[in-house]
Amino acid sequence: MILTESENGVPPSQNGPIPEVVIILSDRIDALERALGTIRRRGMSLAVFSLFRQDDDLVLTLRGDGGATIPDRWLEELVALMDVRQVKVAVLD
Amino acid sequence: MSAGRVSGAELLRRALVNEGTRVMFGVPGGAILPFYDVLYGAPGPRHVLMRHEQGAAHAADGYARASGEVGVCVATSGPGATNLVTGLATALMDGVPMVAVTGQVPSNLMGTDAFQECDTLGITMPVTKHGFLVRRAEDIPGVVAEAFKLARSGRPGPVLVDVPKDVQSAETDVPDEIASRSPGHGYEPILEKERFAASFVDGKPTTIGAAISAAVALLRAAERPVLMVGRGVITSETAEEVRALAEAAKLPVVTTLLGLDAFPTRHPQCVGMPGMHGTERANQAISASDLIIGLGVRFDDRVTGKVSKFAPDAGIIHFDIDPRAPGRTIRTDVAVLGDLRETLPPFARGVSEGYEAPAAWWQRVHQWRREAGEPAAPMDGTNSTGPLSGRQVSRAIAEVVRRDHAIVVTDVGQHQMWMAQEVAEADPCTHLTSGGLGTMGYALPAALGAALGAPERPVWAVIGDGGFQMSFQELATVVQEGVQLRVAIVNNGALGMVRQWQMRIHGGRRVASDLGAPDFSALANAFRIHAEMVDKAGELDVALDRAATWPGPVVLDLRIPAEDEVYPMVPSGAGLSEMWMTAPAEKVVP
Repeated sequence: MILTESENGVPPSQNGPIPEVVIILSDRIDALERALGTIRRRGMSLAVFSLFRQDDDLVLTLRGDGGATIPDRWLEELVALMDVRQVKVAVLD
Repeated sequence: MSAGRVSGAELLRRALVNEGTRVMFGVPGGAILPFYDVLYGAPGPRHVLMRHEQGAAHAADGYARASGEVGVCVATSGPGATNLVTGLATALMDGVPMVAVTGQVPSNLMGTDAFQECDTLGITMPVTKHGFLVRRAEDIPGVVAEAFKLARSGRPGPVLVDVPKDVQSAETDVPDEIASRSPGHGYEPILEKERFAASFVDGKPTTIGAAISAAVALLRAAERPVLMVGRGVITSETAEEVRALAEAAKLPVVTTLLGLDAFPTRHPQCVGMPGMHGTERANQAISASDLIIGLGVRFDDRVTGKVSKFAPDAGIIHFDIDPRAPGRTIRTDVAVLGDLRETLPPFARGVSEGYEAPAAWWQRVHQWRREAGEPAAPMDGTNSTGPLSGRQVSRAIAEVVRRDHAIVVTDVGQHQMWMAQEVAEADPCTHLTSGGLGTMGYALPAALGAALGAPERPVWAVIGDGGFQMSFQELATVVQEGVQLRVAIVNNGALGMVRQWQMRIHGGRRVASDLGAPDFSALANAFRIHAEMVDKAGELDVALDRAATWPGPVVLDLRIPAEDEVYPMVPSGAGLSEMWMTAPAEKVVP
């Protein structure tokens, strides 16, 4: 499931000035590796901001440079990963 | 409660059978030996011993494309697994459902740089939909069920299951029922999840129904529509529905390389394949269109040419099951995300209520047809003692394939494009090729897989001399399995497409594109395969007919001049309307 804290009423090739992307995934190294590999492979301009455990999951938070964009379709690819439970997107002031 | 105890390897075998696996392609080795051991005397699946793991992956791919089932390949750890990578990437790019089973070194040796150890899961992550490392024998049934579910769901693709040797050997209870018991949270196909930006219209997310309504409205207002058909139509088994839609709305149809068997190429509304080596009329129609309706296509760079010049006046409607696809390469006005089996009928109903493409548009399309005429005449085709040409060879093979309702599997390069230009009336799942990754060495093992996946059809493998030299060891597998495969080597003594680019784009500076080659007939004979060499135009048809009826595998060495080139051609970086119809004189270098 994806929760969005921003209004996603922008062209699908943009999410506006970026954002913070929070990925909740299974607490396994290969799950983390696959999520990070997807981010790298698709050229998403994101950097790791934090990583911590929450109950039985990992919470990976990434942030982009101001004005950077991430196509929604790449967020969809993250959602499609088997070990990803949730992707949350927010635009930071 | 359990039904006795068996090894993990036996559980693996039973799980594969449970998923309907009839045939699997593999090469044994140390870390996968417990699995091979349980195949001894077992009722199934049938195992086909390939001569290289890459061939096993391609054979599973060909089997899947021809049969519509999940293809299965098996390899050992280390080099066995790494040799699968090209085949997995090929399947991922073209959306082919596969499950690859690999052996891994015993759990206690993992991470010690043991003999034939590698990080199979890590290496294959970018080229699979998902990968599993099985740590406990009791997890095997659930993991295999999950792997098959993943491979088939959404946009199909390859999934890897890595099983350490000790897990294969460990004894465990047999579950009463093999069901999905994933150690993870269980996979939900993406379309069943809450959507972030499912379908959209003008960039705004909306429901599938609203997107379809918007698509209908766009088409009803269109004066110059074009329907673009791709492999998604094959995967979703909607070729008949697409044809009905096209005929009801009288839409011109273009078919991508992987959609050539999704719409009859000789249908009066088919204007051919678009893109780099597409037909002039297809590229002209797209360039002049005011609406492109893409069905299960990727709009990849070989189709679009320079994106900024692709259909500059057209709106884009994109039907696809893959949410990553719309907008990936070109601006998309309406995206309808879902299975074509569900999204096409309401769209067709909306369109069929009185809409037909305007007659004035068809007049222009017909004009391009007349101007383009028939494809260029074969080189020296009227001279029976003259040399063969690539187009003549392809046209003749395509005719035999059509006549015999055969499957044709092409490799990559010039012959692939000639065959695509000449393919005639192909049924769904009968024109197989590596379209996305462009994998040389694909055709021979994939054709073997296709022959086992669709045994009711004759199978032709059409391969360049370069691709054949990457894969000919699988002739041994062809003989071993008694497969009546027809192999046509389009032999120009060169890496033909590389040579063509060097001649036309790199100033005639040919580097590493002229190939030496063995005597292919003698080589085939060494495998105890009947072979013929043909180098005269007048001998071609007889040789093809003889091959079509030969009671066993056949290799034809079809010699064409290295100077033969594929046209039309849209040079890299140009728009579709800027195609070369013949070799540009100013770029010809003797």
